[in-house]
Amino acid sequence: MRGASYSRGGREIVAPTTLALGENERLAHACGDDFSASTLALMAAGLVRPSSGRVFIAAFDPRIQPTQVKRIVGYVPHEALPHDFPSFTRYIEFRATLWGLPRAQSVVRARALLSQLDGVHEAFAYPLVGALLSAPRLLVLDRPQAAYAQQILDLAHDCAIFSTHVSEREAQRFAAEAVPV
Amino acid sequence: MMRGAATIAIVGTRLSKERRVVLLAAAACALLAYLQRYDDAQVRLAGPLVFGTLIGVAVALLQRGARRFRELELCEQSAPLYGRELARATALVPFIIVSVALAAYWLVSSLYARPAVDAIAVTALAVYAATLVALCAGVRTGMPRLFYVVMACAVPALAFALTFASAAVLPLSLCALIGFIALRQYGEALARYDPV
Repeated sequence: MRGASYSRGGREIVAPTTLALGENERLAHACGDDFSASTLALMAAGLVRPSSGRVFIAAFDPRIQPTQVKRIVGYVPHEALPHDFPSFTRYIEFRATLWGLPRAQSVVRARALLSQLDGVHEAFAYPLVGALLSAPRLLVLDRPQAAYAQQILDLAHDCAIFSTHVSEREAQRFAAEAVPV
Repeated sequence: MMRGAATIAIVGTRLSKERRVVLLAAAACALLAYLQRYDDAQVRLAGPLVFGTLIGVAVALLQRGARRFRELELCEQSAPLYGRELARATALVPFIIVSVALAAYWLVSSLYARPAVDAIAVTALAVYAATLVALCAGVRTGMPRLFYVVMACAVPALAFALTFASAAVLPLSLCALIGFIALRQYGEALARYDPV
């Protein structure tokens, strides 16, 4: 991310941000407020174009190569709840279909991943499993809870993790909780 | 290239969330057909055009924004699909709802008067074109959104005027052209759409 900022209606939502994340690295970034954290996460996932500056994900520019970027990024929104789906299986089948993954195998893999998220609320566990289904190289988390940090890390293995947080304290807490083993 | 399975998955998931809307739209159009006058050709054409367009515009606007499909939208947006592929898949949903509503109208109206093939074709194409234009409004805000809604409402009005002023081929061709341009516009807008 090189000087990437986001503005809407003349209001600056994300100030120019420059940061780099290598393979297998983790970064918890404090943004100041909820809207800014949410927007920065969307920018990092290549879902929102910065108003100025550039975002590169594994040398791909989301503006030019959006599908390549989306194949290597897993995005977990903050408010995500698979309410639009009647069950976890349907949610996984839907994601598997959109990502061109084998449905039956994906459901088995998703259930295995979900079993490792014991104690994690399904509102966060389902989208996290969904995001990890396609084995992304970068996992982008929008304001994740620090309490889940270790489980996220265990599940993500060698995937780079970028998370946005409202305050510096929350970012530090999340980073501290996630201790690589 | 997008797989047909992805289109079916998107359409199926969105339609399952819209079951009540489908029922309501079909019931409203059936009721209109029951109350409709059949002794005047202009009124007979205007009825399904107006109601079909209202349903098409409403359903198209409900597809994006208002956070109704927030999770689904984010899931679709983060999937490795191009804007035009997503546009085609999501445009099918209001198409199906409008088709069901119009079918309900023609089913009931056929009890009172035999529907003319020309009128069915003009109504269907005009309503589809209006729905596609309204979809473009769904990915915009403020004045551009209002502008697209007004344009969507103008499409059937234009088709109506042309039907009685020329052969049916002209309104049909015009609606097909407007629909094609609107679908392309929607695809491009969706590719640039920021789900913030």
